[in-house]
Amino acid sequence: MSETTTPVSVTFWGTRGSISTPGGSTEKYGGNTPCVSVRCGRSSIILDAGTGIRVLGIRLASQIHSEGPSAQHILLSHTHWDHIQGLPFFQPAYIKGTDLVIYGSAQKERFLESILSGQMDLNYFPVQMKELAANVSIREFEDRFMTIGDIHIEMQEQILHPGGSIRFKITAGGRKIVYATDVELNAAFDPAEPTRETRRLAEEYSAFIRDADLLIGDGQYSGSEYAFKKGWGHTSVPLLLEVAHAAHVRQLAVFHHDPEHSDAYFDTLEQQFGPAYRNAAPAMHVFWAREGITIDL
Amino acid sequence: MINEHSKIVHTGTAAPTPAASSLSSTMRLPMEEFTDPDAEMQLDVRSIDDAKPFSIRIDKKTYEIGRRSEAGIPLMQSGVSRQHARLFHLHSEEIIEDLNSTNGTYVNGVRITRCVLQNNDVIRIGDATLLFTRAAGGCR
Repeated sequence: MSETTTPVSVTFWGTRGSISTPGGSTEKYGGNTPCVSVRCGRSSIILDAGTGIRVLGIRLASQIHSEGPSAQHILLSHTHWDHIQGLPFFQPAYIKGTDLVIYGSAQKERFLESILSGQMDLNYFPVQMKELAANVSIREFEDRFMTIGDIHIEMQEQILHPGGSIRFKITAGGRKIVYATDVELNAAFDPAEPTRETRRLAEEYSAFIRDADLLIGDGQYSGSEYAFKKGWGHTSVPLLLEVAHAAHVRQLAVFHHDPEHSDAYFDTLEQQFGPAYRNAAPAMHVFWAREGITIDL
Repeated sequence: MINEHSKIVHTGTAAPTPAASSLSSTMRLPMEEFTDPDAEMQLDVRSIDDAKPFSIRIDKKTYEIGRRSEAGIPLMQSGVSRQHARLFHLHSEEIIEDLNSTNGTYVNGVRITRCVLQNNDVIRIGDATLLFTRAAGGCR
């Protein structure tokens, strides 16, 4: 089968930002923190290891038990709690023979391995990282480009988040998916005082997401909320929509939902913004990412 | 920077802010917010043509949805493939899965391959619209 005809599927396992939010008012869009898997043929990657990775791990463990050990590749956008807290609950890590490869940024003061094993220190968790049964390999990105099976990945640093983060452009099966969470686009596209640097950051982002078949983008705040949360490292929904549409994104999954936002609130936003963008030229399909959904591209 | 094509004009009211009563993770949850996994589930089927609406009670088993008369949930509307989708129960969840249909399966407007269903999800299959509901029950 040629690469251009291989189906690519994207599954959302966790869509919430900051902290997991179980409860009746978050049941529909989900309360687990970020985790997304991308599959193309027999190749797959996992983006972030928030609490959503637990359920993915259960599914994968079941597959491993029936089909044998496999390699799992986890790419971390950054190591804030909401993006790594599910890792100790990822079942394949406890299965002998599994190759677990975790990738993250090299531009931190501490080694990635030290950060990740730190959250499994005995003071925080009963099992230490060195006790995991899987063959764990922790790798810091050395290059902007990486290939895992049939999946090609390009990385770019995002400085508009406290401590920084990484966005990923994933090319597979002739499709382009961009995962760009934890970034404050308002600071680049709508700054109080535009500078050469803010313009550069805006252009860099637009070029990165241009013509994406799917953009998974940070849209944590409403426009009015953002006014009180400047510098917190997240983007307002109206700005994300405008920037994505201008870059000819075909489908936008608004992601990293605020813990205070309810299912009813997202339904209202979807009704407010969705039809206008679906009917625009070019059309852009906007939806609020929800747990348990798989879409084919 | 964002005016290469028709710029979206947001009409209507300003973006709503979450209700003051929205729940935070530290607040006690009202018991009625929880759904009962054993509560009755059903699909209300509507059609854009004048076909008579009908409802189907859903049990924890697998249903094929399609134009085949032997399908568990037969839909004869246009745009529905013979074997269009599958509805099944897994790990306390109701899941709908598209079976490589010609026109796709949509949940709340999003074309999906697979989706865990929630109360009041609207599924679109060809010219048929199916409302998934789970009756409110006790706490779990």
